Amino acid sequence: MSIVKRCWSVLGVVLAIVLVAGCSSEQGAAEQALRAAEELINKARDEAAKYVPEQFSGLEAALASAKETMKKGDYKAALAAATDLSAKAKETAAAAAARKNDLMVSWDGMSGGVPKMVDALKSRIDILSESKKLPANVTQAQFDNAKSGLASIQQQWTEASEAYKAGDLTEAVAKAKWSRDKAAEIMSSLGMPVPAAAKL
Amino acid sequence: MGTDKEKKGTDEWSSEQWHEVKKGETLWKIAEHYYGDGSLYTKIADANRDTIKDPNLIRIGQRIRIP
Repeated sequence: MSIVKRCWSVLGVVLAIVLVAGCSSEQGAAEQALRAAEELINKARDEAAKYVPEQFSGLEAALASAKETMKKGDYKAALAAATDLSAKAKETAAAAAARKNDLMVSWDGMSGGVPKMVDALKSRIDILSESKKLPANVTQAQFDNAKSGLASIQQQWTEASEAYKAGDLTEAVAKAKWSRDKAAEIMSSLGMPVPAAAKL
Repeated sequence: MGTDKEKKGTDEWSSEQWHEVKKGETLWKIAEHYYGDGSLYTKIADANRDTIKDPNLIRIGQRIRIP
């Protein structure tokens, strides 16, 4: 074998080694980035799935897609996707925390206020039940609706409190809002003042 | 973010109803207006025991809580 041919062979081997090494390093970086992203997603899972479910579903779909890209051997694209995923996982965790805080603020206000509305309504309905005739601005239908509405509010409020105790803030706030709005509607129909915080 | 009405303080949740006594009004008349039945004036008198000592004596401008 001539010296030139030998040189070309050696160069070919060196090039192959460089290519394999380069490829392997790209694969390692992509794997590491994907693991880091998955860790962030798992860390955010509980709160994110509860408070920003749609955003979290998108994140999970993106993770699955990045894993698929990895399997196909497109390490460059997988690395880019994993890097993007990490950023999105952090954004999702922050959005979940903000939503949870927002729900807590809502619950705190309503948990003190709605029972006051219920007490006032109950007191008025009890008094009107003793009345020989209803006040001029209240019809019998309105009064009947108020009585059945109060029972529904009390039921919803009990469920809201149970949901809160069970850690389901979303359900607790939804039921509390329903109770607040229904109480406001009935108070208004009975000629009672609606608390400023409950005005629609 | 929660709406303003969800974040308001406890005073904003006050459900109390108040009535300012006008000339010629009696507790009976006030009860008739709010409850449709004057004989329920005792409910108002009981709710205002701290300010109404005699149900027959209320004065113009007095603020009365309506339970």
